[in-house]
Amino acid sequence: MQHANYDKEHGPAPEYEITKDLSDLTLMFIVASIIYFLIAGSMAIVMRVIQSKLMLMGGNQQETFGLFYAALTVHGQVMFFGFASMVTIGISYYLISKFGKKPLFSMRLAIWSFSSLNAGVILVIVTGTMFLGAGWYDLMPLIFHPGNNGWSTLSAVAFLNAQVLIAVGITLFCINIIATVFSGKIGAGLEKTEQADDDRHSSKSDEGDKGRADFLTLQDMPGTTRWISVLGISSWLPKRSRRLVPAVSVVVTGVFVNAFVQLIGNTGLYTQLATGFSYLMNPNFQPNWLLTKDAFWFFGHPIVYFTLFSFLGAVYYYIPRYTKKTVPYDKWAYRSWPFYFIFTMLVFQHHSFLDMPNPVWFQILSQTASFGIIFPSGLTIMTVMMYIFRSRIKWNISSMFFLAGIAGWAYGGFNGAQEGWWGTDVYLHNTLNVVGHIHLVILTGSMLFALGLIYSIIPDITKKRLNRTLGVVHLVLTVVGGFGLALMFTYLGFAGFIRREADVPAQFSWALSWLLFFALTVGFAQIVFSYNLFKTLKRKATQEEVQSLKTS
Amino acid sequence: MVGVQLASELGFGVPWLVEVLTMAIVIATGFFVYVALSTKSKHVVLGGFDKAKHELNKYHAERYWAIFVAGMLIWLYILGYPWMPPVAFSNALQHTGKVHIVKVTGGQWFWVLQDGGFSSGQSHANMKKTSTNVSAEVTSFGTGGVMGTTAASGEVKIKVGEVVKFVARSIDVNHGFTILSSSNSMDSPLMQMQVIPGFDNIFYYTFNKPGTYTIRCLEYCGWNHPYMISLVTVVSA
Ligand code: HEM
Ligand SMILES: [Cu+2]
Repeated sequence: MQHANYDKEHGPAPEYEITKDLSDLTLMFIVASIIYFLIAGSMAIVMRVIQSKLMLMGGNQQETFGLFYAALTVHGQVMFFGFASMVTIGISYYLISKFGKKPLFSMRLAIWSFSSLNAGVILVIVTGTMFLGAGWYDLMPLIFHPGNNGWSTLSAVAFLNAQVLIAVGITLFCINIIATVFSGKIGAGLEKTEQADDDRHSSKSDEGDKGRADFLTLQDMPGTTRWISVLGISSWLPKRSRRLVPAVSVVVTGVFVNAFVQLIGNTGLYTQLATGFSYLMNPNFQPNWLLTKDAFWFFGHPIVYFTLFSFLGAVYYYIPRYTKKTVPYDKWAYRSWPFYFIFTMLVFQHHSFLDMPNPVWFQILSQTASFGIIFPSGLTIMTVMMYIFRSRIKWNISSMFFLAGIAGWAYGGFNGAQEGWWGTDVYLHNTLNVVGHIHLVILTGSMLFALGLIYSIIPDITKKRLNRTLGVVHLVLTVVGGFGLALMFTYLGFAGFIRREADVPAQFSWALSWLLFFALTVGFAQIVFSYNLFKTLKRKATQEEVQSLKTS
Repeated sequence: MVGVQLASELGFGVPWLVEVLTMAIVIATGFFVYVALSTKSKHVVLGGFDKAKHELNKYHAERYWAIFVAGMLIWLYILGYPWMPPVAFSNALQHTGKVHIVKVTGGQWFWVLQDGGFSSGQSHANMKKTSTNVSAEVTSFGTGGVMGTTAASGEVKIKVGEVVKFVARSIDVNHGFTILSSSNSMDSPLMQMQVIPGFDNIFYYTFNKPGTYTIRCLEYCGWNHPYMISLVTVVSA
């Protein structure tokens, strides 16, 4: 009785129906991302096989190594852009519309972002078949030294064009989200629930859930107020002022911060690409390769968080939602966002700590920001854990993925802190430890959040549930394989296993079969998941689903 | 004579990192499991999320957590300050009579090491200018040094305890100049820096033990990158 409102809702998401066009587009993003995952994943298997010396292409070492580096590049790029960014963008469109309670600013822009991103990713795969292997961060000037590297200038040009398409796709997404948040009315008003919450608890009643299903109402908000609200700044104001600022859903805050930071970060990629194209057109032009590299990382750091922020925003909503309560305003859920916003933009240079010609003040700034970004992360983890603590949470596939994701992200964060320290990065940079960090943060962090969300979004947009048994298989295998792989990378890195090595010395060959095992486990889990997804999309909704998932 | 003291010389090297990470993972996992199990305990707060969170908010649990995290971070920041390469360098140079210059040239796919002679520690003490004023001291870069996998010690004699100034240049693409902790072709780095084309890339380092060390490239630089490898011998003082 007490949870009547919860049970009526589906997903569980607010009672707002997104447009048919948007739900189709969201599905297209999800399906595309899974296909790319399988492609990128098979590239990882190719790398493992070559490292295990299971295969030498006709005994030609250059070709075998060339294949290794092409596979590495396609893997990194396609995982980042085809999988992680793709699923982020698709789900973010859904989230902003659902939790902003309004249609997207422009469906056309959304479709363009989908097309451009896909075109870019496909072109990256094509350049892989041309043996281009300059790493996922477009190593310059390496990419312009074809000939003895085994790829042609043509493939380098194609690769840079692929990067342009990808950058444009992401930029269109960011613009669309920002425009959605800033045009017209937006769902807000959650701040009122803070008072209601206090009142209710002082009267020691457990019956207060009635009628609180949905506090988001469409509101007009003047520009400045909107900024203060969507960046989560209002949560730091004293109680009285805090209640004067209409609070948007924390999901909107997450998606907005994500889009805004990435829009700024993208300028770094454009700068790097512009330098690259200028050099291609005029080989006498001597670019400053240090600056070019720093510019790339101005984009490259945010793009890692890009795969995370929208989902973190969603986790703040869904976790308490699974504890069978509506979500009141909680200032701690918003308080991390202004810090994420600032530090994600300042921290990029810890990727080039070992570039000694960089100015010292610049390096120190990024070291400070490395520590700075741990602060909001610590807040997020604690807040989410406190939502779960002693609650009657429903342990379904989504909530279990979320909990695992929090763990992976936390581990990756600890590891990242060690790399984000200038003094200790000297021992870790470009070892497998860094690769461990990437995989902890993205594979066992953001991507577990994404997969968990897919399990709750699919029923909302298709009115059909994914099969639970297959879901459990998916969850268990992904978690075992993902953590196994990522933690193993991390510790092998400590032991001195160097990153990007086509030739692995005998001392580490014991590790390779384990890595292959974990990789195959994750891969197999995603095949199970794809089967489940496609099966669900194709079948008709059951009577029970029609009843329980229909919109009230 | 005090040499360059990076994190590992100060006791914060790889073994310490392994311990800290493992401890953090164990503690965090314990906490996550505890919280997950709490949802099964008889103490489950019937009011669900609002109530449990409200109870904890009442004690300002998160406020204290935020202060604790911020305090920890500030403490760690201060702890790590002396390990930053430029700080370690300038500390060493304050106390060093002379600096041994080693010129490093990297290219696809080789390392060349050349002896650049000695200069006074004081002339380096002003760290701010290191990236511009070396060009004058380090004159002839290029081939003629020790190449490939032969030990570089024939030309370059590095002694334990002396402050070595590696000045690295690339003739083509971005490389990563790294000295590993043993003569194995894969081992933890003792020091490393990126070698950006068009710049003098400088790193000061002091060896503590005599022996043969692997030099190798740690930035991917083309298909033969795994074999961009060499050796350097360090003799006792
Ligand atoms: C099936 C799961 C996965 C497996 C088996 C796997 C395996 C690998 C391997 C073997 C490497 C090369 C390590 C090296 O020697 O440098 C690598 C690199 C990388 N992976 Fe994954 N990975 C997986 C999932 C992911 C995911 C989900 C992402 C996230 C977007 C990702 C992003 C990357 C990146 C960015 C690199 C670095 C590429 C480069 O150095 O240019 N991987 N992965
Ligand atoms: Cu190299």
